[in-house]
Amino acid sequence: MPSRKTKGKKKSAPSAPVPKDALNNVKNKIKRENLLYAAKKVHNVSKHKARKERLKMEEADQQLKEERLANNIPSTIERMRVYDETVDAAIEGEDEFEEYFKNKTAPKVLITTSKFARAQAYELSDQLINIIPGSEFVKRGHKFSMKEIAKFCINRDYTDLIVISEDKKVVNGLTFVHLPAGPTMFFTLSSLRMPKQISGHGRATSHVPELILNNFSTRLGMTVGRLFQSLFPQTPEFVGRQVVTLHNQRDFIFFRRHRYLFKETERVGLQELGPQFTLRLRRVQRGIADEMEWEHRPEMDKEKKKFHL
Amino acid sequence: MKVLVAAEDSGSLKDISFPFGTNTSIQQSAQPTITTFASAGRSSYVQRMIIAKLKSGKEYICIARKGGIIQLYDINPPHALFVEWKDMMHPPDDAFVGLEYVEGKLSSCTATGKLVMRDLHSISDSTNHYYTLLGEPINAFRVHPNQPNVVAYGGKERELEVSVIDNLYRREPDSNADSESDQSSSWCIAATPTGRALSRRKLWKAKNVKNDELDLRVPVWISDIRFLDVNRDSTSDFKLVVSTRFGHVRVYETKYSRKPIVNVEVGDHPLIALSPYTSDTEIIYCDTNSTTARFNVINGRKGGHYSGAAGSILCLDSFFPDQESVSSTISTSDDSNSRESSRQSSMARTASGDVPLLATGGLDRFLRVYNLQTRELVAKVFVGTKLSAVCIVDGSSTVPSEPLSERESDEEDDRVTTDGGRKRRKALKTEDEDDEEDSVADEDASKKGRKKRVRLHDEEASDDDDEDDIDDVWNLLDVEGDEPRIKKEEDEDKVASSSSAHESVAQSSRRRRKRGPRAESSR
Repeated sequence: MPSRKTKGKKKSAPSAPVPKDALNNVKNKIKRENLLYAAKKVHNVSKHKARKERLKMEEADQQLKEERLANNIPSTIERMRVYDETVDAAIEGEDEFEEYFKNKTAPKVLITTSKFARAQAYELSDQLINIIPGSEFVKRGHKFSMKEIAKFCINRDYTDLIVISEDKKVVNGLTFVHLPAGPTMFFTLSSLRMPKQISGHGRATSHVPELILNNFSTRLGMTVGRLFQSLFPQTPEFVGRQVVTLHNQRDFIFFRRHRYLFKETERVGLQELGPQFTLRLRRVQRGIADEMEWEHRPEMDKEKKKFHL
Repeated sequence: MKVLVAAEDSGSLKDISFPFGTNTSIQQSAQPTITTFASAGRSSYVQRMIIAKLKSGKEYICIARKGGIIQLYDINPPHALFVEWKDMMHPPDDAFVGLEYVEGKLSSCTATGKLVMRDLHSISDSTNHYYTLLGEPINAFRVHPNQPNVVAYGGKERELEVSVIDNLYRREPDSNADSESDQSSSWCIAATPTGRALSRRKLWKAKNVKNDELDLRVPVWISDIRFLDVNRDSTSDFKLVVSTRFGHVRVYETKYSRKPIVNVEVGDHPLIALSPYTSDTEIIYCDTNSTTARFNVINGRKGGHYSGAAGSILCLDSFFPDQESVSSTISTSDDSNSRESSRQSSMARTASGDVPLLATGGLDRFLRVYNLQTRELVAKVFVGTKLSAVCIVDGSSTVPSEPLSERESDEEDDRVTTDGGRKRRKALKTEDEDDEEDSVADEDASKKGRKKRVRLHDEEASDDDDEDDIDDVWNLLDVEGDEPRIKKEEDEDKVASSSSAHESVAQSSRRRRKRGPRAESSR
């Protein structure tokens, strides 16, 4: 790429932004680039100037800022979301998580892997044990199916079963089975980053974390949210200042874990503890992998503005 | 139209009224009116629901709840509880696998195999409760739609069986003439010396299919049963279709063989329920993976899908518009002439008015109504809870609560739907004509296999256009709702003897409902 800065003579930059089409007539490529660079610079300078002026004006009059923020609505896909009647629909009757919410039963979670799992699955299970209080890991043998394991777990009063799926040495899925009566949810897992890979990560403590569930709005989303909720004890230990976040955006669920820190009265610092991963709901089944409640189908991805969670 | 659904999460019933074209996913479309009643919590949710039309013309919602409770609700708002029976011996984890109403007899069957039969025409009679044990496990139970003494059942590792109840018999025609004044059924149960037991005689039992290509035994797990060709005169030969949890649809002809005459694996997923189609050549099935489709029982081919469901469908209900202009009572159902005439007239009726419908409900919390023949989605309603049972009450294209007096002229009498005497939308006229062609073609194809839709009573045989009377009827119904009379006693039948006012009301009521095989099913 040729250097944008012309050596030697400094060309006088145009004082006003140049329309894009005006440059099309310039036949020399290098010249054209230089002109564009100059035009961009002018544009940037004017933008920053305007911002500075606006800041001054808004400092004088707070209302101006409020007005601007109210009017400046970015057009994102979320804003163009297709109407969904199940968004914020009241939960009618009881569901399988009623026991947890009503009786505040402490979760007891078993974590295991798929058969013949490799290192990464064990690393993640190590992390999950750390994240979910009251969870324990059992190495998966090759004898029993998931349904059988779920049955054994019911006998031992487990409330949830998590199975880490691994394929070709890469963790690619998580299955959550709420016990004793379901539902079973399968998520694909991607973008896994272990704490080691996160620069400046902190070391987690064994305190019960706080839980943030963002944007689980549809009826299906609420079920998913309730599943995550039922994995954690209902009373967090605020002393630990640890937060687990499950943020849903466009049906991708982002998992993050942080520690917050009060630097001064105004500002809060965040230290990431890790790991990071992204989940995508693929399947919800009633009971222990029985009838399909909801399944992701490829044609669902065709409609970009339709979200299911 | 009007559909009753059972909400699994809250254990309640919902009365949903909406016009054709309703889609709650589109904000601009028509929205349904949903009334919730009979809430009892998830612990006693409705497992089976049917509509029973008594000979007096009175209609009830019959529901079988988890925990051994059978209730009868008034079909008209405010849906008063009429009778409740509670079986104290019902094991807590037992479930109802069948609830059937045929010719005055309400039969319920549980997974542990307790078959209980009650006569709804003599609810006051404390001895009308008869039972027999079919043995466990039972996953599917069905009563023959014309012969209440013939029952079919099957289950996990339990081959399909057809039994006859010997002490339930058809009353002789002369004795029937004597008792015409009272509203009792033409079928009666005789008490045995041993008490209120049904004496059951095994008529036929299926044999498992041949071993598979690896010479392994094919497992048996029947999930639903339907009688086909119900109008044949025989009391010993039946045609049945069953679905299995291993994805098979099997057709049995008891006259020919103990093995199925058609055995097709329609999919990898367990089948849940079956529902009748307009002709006997096809059947509707649904599986655990959101498939609802047609199946041809003659050539074993899969037909079209009723698409749209995101989750498993748990319950199906086929609705056929009133088929007879000439009504025939049960007592004359042997008469083949009347059957022929009713079949002829049924074609005319279908052509003039409503379309056959299929309602589906399941785990995705949506009620969907399809045109049974064209498979088009007619309406889609978000209910908010999982649906465990569904029943179409009124298949007209408009909302039934529309006041009747809105009808302006008599010029389009044949466009007035029979259900509730509502006026059809003119806009649908062209559609109907299309449907007419379809249905006629269908009927040609299946002249022999045509089901007879017989009504239980002939009060409304002369179907005049006295809308004013109907208005009065509705008022009366509002005012004189039966008080719920509930008693809970083990295996005791309770009654609220219907008042004479009620009967007159019901007689003049023009709500009509197709009698015949009805689909209401859950897991």
